[in-house]
Amino acid sequence: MRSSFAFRALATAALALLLAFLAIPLVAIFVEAGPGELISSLGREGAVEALWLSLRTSLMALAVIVVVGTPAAYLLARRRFRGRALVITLIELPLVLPPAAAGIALLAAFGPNGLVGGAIEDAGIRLVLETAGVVVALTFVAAPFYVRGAIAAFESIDPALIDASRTLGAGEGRTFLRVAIPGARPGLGSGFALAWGRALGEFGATLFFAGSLEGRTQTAPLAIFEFLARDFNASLALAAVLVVVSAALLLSVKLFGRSPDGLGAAS
Amino acid sequence: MASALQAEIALARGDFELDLRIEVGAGECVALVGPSGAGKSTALRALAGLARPERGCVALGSDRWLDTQAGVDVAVEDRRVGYVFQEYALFPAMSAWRNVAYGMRSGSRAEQQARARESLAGLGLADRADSRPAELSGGERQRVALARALASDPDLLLLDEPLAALDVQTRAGASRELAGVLGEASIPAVLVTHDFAEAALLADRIAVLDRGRIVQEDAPAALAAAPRTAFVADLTGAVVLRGVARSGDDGLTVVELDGGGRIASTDPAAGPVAASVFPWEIELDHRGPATGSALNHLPVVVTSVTEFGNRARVGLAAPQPLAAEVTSASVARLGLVPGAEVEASWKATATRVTAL
Repeated sequence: MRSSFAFRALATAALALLLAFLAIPLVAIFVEAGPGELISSLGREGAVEALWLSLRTSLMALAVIVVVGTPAAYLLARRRFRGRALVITLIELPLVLPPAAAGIALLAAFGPNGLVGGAIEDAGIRLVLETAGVVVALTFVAAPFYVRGAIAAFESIDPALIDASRTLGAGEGRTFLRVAIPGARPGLGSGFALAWGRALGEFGATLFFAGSLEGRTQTAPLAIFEFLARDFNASLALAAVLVVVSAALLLSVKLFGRSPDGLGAAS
Repeated sequence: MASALQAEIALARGDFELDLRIEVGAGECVALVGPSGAGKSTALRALAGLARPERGCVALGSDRWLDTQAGVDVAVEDRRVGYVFQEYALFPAMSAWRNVAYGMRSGSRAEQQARARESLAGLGLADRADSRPAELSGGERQRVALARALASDPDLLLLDEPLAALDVQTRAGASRELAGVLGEASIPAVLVTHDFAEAALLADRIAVLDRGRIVQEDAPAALAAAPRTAFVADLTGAVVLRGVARSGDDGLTVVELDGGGRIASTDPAAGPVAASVFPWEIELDHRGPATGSALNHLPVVVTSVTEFGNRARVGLAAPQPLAAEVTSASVARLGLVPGAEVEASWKATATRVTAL
């Protein structure tokens, strides 16, 4: 009896410590500078541009990820083939890759002297130090978050639903659009939100591959770093916006996961 | 014009081998019956094109769906099958009528909706057409699945354990309704079930499947009367007699059998029923005054005697066919040969009655 009370007290203390450690920095962002100060700091040159660039590039990256990643994930979820585990591991690799390593890898591949950089340049596309390069970096690091969620979502669809659609005269394409995607929607939604959150926070790979040119490749996280030395409040203000946006994304993940109509991927 | 199904399928998955030949006439329903793992569902999937046989051919009349020798393999979506899946596989995000309209191949959206609602109404689901599958009961889901399978105007109807997902109370009604739909259908139908009684009620012919092969194929009563192997004998289980039930004196249910004869059961029931009794519960004796505790006595004529091991299945003609299982010794002692006139007796307590 006594020992179980002692354990519970210890566990409660551990939880309180964890919460405090995680919450204090977040609270500090909003307390360090007053709300008015934060808002006026956003007006600082470059801050709004950086946020706007982050929004645009991350959404462009997400568009690429969804358009390419959704059918690819469907294929991986539906088919069993030799080497499938290897393919999935490759797709998941950027999850654990250090961002700096990812940036260097992108340079080595798509940079001017990179593996396929020449071909890309011949096609008239410039990536390094360009906004397009930011999109490439974000796509690289964020894609696995979406694709992993999408594979799991498609795998959780009852295979009989796919079979039923086929017997009712729908080809693979129509079945994918009308049965698989609606069935996987909650998982696709939360995968999207996670990938978007990762893309918004991307720092290392973007810095190495696209640089930090104001107005062109300087996304919000890069701007936070850039402002740090010169204008701490502007850094704080940008960080505050990112915290709010990230929290909203996390919330949406939870909401998607709940699938309120009870017709989620699990049913 | 509906045409007959002719299929030969050979398919191997690991240790399991399926090898069967099946023919189903237009308007006919054949049941594949066997224990789980016998390959019933795989056979159905192969007919639909959802599983790919190594060798074989599937044809509906002159329409060839599969011919591995000629390299013909029509895609699932082009085969025109109506498939009722085991758990119905209704699309969860679509209302009942949208589920039904999904497979319609002609007409405008509005026409399709009207037709879908009409077919649901025909199955007593007019007011459930806008409900999603999650809001429907098991029996309602089964009817939506049936309506959906038929709405695509199929050339072949495939039913995979269509009643297995239903509770006992719902099953009787659903089975009667399904029998009605199958009776009206002019296309060949293949039904898969592990329940011999269900197959006997729904199918014209039963093919018993054991480890991927058809071990015997015949009309339900003939199969029960003359099983070729002990496996078939055990599987055929109860003999089913149709009749009309009413409550009698002394608290028993009296069933007036279609075609004549009257039996009693301890199960409560009224109206059209299926009465079932296991062949090994039926006792055979020379005709004479009844002795003992059995309440049910029918004069019968022996039509066949099939011995397997130390027992024999005796096919009997009463107004409705039934079968008894007795020891080989009794066959000799009673002189059971085709044409012998004897009496079949069994207890009211061994008689199960289910409403139809």
